[in-house]
Amino acid sequence: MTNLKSQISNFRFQIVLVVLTIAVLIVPVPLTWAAPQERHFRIEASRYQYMPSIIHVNLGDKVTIDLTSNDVVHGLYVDDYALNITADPGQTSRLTFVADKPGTFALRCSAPCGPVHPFMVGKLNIGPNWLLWRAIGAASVAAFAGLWVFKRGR
Amino acid sequence: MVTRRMKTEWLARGLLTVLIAVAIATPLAARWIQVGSTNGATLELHARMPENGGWSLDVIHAVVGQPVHLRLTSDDVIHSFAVGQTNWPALDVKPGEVVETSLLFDKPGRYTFYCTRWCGPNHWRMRGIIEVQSPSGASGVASLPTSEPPLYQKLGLDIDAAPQLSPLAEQSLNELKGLPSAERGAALHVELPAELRQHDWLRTHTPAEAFSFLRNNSAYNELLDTQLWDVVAFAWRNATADAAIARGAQLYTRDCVACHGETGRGDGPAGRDLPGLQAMMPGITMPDAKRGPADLTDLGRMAGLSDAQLQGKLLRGGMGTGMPEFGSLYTDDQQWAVIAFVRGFVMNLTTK
Amino acid sequence: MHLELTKVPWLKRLLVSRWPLFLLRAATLAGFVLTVVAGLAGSPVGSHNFAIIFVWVAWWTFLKLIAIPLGGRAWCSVCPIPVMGEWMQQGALVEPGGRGLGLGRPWPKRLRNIWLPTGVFAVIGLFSAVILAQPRVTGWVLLGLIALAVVLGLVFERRAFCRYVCPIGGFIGLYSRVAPVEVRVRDRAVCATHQEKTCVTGNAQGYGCPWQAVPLALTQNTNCGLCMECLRSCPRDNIAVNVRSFGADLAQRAGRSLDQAYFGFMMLGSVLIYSTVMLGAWGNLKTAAYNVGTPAWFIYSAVLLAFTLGVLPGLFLLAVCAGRTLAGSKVPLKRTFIAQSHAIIPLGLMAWIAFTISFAFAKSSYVWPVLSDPFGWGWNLFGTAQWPWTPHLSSVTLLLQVLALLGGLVWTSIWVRRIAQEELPERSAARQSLPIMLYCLLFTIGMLWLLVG
Repeated sequence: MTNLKSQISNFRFQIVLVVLTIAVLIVPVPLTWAAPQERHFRIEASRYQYMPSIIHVNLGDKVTIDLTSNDVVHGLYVDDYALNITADPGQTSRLTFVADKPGTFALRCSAPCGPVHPFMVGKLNIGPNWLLWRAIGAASVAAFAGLWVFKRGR
Repeated sequence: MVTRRMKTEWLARGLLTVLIAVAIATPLAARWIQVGSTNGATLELHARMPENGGWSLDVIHAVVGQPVHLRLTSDDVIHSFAVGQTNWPALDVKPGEVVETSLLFDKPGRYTFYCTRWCGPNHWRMRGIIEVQSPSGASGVASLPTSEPPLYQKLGLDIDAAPQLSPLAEQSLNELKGLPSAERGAALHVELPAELRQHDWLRTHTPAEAFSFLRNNSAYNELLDTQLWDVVAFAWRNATADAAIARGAQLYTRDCVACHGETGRGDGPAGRDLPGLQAMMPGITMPDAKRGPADLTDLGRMAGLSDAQLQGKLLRGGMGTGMPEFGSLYTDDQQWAVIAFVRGFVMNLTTK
Repeated sequence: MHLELTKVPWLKRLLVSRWPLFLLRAATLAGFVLTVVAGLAGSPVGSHNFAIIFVWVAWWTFLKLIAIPLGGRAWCSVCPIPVMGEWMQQGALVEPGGRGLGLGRPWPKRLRNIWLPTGVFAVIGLFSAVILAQPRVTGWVLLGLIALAVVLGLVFERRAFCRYVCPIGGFIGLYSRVAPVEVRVRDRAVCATHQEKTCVTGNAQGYGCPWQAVPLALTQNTNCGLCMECLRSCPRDNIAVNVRSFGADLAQRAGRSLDQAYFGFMMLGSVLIYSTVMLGAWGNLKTAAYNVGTPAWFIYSAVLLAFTLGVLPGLFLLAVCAGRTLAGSKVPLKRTFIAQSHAIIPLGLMAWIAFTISFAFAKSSYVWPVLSDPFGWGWNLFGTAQWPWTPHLSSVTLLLQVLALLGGLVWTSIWVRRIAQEELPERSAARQSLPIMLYCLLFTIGMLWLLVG
């Protein structure tokens, strides 16, 4: 009986740790979002980066991006939102959208601008980067949970 | 005796040879068919940034009345193909994609083909020549198909001269608040003098001269200086068709904005690093240098230059500023359209 | 978990027959030739060239996401690079019995390790930006590799190139330890009664192991190329192909060595650096990596080499030292270092999987136009030439990357502990593992920040 009990309690310990790791990943955190506002960014594209390369907005913001280029024709594609504009040097192209999907999205160049074009990328952060923080939290638990949960004798 | 093993082996070798041969021969054969089937009547033209070699063909030969077929592709960034001295629309040439077109000339001469999507600091050097002969074999005029010399040459104007303003005109400009407005000028319901209704006069006189002309005319004595400038703006607007300004806007955006900027101030990204310009002035960096893309919003300067002088600068380029020559690219209509649009940087030409 | 595939009759026939493998190899060789032609003669625009898209997007994704995690060295059995050399050595394409060419020299003893592949991988890494961007360069690199493989095949014995030179083979071998497929002897007792050991020497039915492994004593996947020769040459039908649980080979103590450990660090360091340079938003790093010969490139190269060969292993050494101190371990430092370096193999594999996921789906849509127009010459073979580029599944890929990285971390933690317990009692093993898991956690946080941040 004591063998079984200790087995169960070991098992319980493992379950708790696994649940904790998953919880960090999934459980929604109650937060008051900032009120949506209008944001305006001017992004200059050159070979091979955007300036600024990382932009932060809040969920629900109305975002306007003015894209211009410094050297050749560049583009801007927003992952997941599937929005796409191109800009010639000196000319400004405007993109307006509402940031209704939270997360971190890549801004990729959509006009071939040279050999390194497929790697030209920027970032759009909508809201805090929950996926990253949760993942880091889960990793912190997982790294050491793994040691304890799966200990085995020889 | 041929064993089963040997038969297997030869079968395998045959199969391998066929597969490899197909892998090598198919693309080469397809290429040969593609290039050869049109009997050399289709020219393959690669667009590359001038740093990478520019156009793969420097000269294209053509005959009046016989179409020239071109297969265009880009080897690096987005370019486009346009032919000067024609009104043919430009054709975008995208990297890794092939686009085909045919050119048909009806006048012999030497045409220039050029790129219209800005493709780097040397974009304006990306040009080639199309030599078009008449069917009889004569090559026609060796230069532009338009045989008339431009206005500034006919008048013997010095296009590099400093802007000319009379002291009166200059002082009145200094007192101006905002830009002269064609709409306000129209609202004054003033009768324009005959000269200010003639293209030739307007093109060969500076706005400052037009102002002085009005000022010296007793019929306009009650009008203030600022109002006279509005009338000058109105005169310019009156002489220009809407379509010309719109066309000028398109050409300016396509060919000028990269250096002169969307605001016309000369602060475009390509103007910051003009090749050749830097070599002429070592040790001085843009935008500190006083040479470089002109500030087209400088009213004091633009008021002292006539349209004919502006046309001269456009056609010839140079001036120690890296300005390319557009003489081989723009038709007469295109030149005046751009100039009409550019006037809009120093005069408000919008009317209801 | 243990499932013998060769118990299924038609599977066994398929594996033992020489035609399936020959056909696959002929196909990959033809594909390789087409790739080289496309690279050298096709459009210089990488995104529209079969060479770039099929090597660095299609094949690389297939290798990292399917072939290695599920098949270990399965790719090596169909890889086109060594085949010409091997066919010339054997004098036959299909069945043995031909007169081979080649000197058949033994590979130098000093180089019987993977230090050379580590170096080749590092060198290729220095030029990776140019190789990935320029079809011509990819074409020449592939041509160079195949030429080298042929020359080595004619000079040295068997698959010396694959085992001791090929950089891809270096990491495939390393990660094949965790793959769920293996070739192993069924019953050792049977081998004990077999004098000739034809799995090593070869006979009329099959060549001796081309990988210079000893099939009768094979306990690890690292050097087994899944070519099935031993299945053919064994007269007692004593060799089986098994499906097993992931990670089984990590428990094998023999075969752990410092060169393998270092390749592991080269892989860990490379994935961090490539994630920074290629996937990050810093354009000046990309231009530094691309402009070979400039001072910026020299700095990039120095940083890459120092980081992968110095900093990462050095920090791991610190972690191991700290762990040993915490645990009061009397086990020699070198042995612990090497053993624990093998425990982080799953971490490296999952990190590379996460990295591959991050660009594979974004670039996979280039595959369709390139199938219709492989050379960028304006063809449209299948009607897909004008299909636009769109990243696929972008909302899902971030989550997949997180799961891959977390999975690798947990998997590694199991093995760090298990391997520690080979020599230490439970508590001490746990204590030793703490600093090592901290190292792994920091690595994972770095990858998370680069890929998802």
